[in-house]
Amino acid sequence: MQSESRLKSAPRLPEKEALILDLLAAAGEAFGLELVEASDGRLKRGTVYVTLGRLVEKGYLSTVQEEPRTGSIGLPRRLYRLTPLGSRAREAWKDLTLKLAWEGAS
Amino acid sequence: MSQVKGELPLGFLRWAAERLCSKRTRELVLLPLLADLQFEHARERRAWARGVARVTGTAAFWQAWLTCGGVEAGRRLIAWGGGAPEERRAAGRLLAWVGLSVCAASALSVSTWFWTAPWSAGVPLGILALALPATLLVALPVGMLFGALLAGAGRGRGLERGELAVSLLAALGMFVLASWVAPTANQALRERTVEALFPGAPPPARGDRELTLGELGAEAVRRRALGRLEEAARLEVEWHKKPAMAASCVALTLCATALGRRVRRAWTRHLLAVLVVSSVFALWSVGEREADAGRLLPMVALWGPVVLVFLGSWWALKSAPERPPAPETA
Repeated sequence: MQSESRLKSAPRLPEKEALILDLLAAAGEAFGLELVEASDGRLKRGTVYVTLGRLVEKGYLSTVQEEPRTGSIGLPRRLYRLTPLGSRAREAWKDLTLKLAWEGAS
Repeated sequence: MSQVKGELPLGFLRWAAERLCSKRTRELVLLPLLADLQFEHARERRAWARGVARVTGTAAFWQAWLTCGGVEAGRRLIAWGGGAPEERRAAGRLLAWVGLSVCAASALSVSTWFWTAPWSAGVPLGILALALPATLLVALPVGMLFGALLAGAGRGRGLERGELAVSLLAALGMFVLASWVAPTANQALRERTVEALFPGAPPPARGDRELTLGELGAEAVRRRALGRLEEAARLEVEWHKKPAMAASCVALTLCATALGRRVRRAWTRHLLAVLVVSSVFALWSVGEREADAGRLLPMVALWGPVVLVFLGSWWALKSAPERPPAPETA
């Protein structure tokens, strides 16, 4: 009960944001649609970029525009990478949930 | 190599991204999405697969736009519609009456459903709550019509900016509800009902009304490519139904304003409103049947009644006398 209320007052990382951070930690860098494919249906094409945009604004991700190639006329794609702050936030979130789960169980 | 060569698909969406949202939404969300969609489209070799990529990409784009651009547009609409005190009062009055009308229409719709589906007695109420989004698809346009009618009763004026903002917001909400929320809730209702009534039975397959906007479009393109034209037409009808029903919120609000301005007697106004809304639903029903059978274009079947109401109401408002009507007599 006590740990539950503590969990509510702790800073939170929404599930989708945590999932994206996990996927990027595993892949190193990825395009948005690659994250959708890697998520087994947990991320949707229509909403993944909204979450990615939010993570970029929070400073958890950095984005690099692909180099334009000769003859290409499409928009340049964007690669997403974890920033050091994003890595720390991911680790801190994992530690926090593990600790609270442990306290809840004991 | 991941960039597109030789052609530039989804150009309209890029045009829309550059005009219909803020710089932040465009640069952080919509342009990265479009770049990936263009790449995905160009990667497909078969024509039907490119068609599917185009349709699902378009649906993903609008979903992203609605998720952030829509919220932003909503904020701007509220600021625009609620500028002056009189506009705020008009919008508030409309919201109150629309809320009441939607509740009444929902209650009526749910009770009709209970009478016509006796099996629903054996299903827990929590599961039946999943029918609410589908109920709102009927209750919201009806609620907009009667809400606007009651909010503007007998004042004989045009459509206030606040009211237009409320109706546009309702249309936006209706589009999200019809395109994504109601299909998901419908399928969950079907699965849980089967589970409650026949434990252990396999879950029912998803029907046309259980597919979201993007899935409907992609499935229609795939079936058309396979030569299954009747099935494709049925899916296209469902696809067009979602934006058409959303647009009906604006058309019916305009209709209510026109009735309020042109018709003096309250009971005549309400009778005409019932007639209009019944005609719209009857035309949709007939049009849907004809379009399913391939005798009418899905777009004409679903958008026709909305355009008719819109143009009729516009004409009625424009040609109304300048003076307000006499005080209520009924």
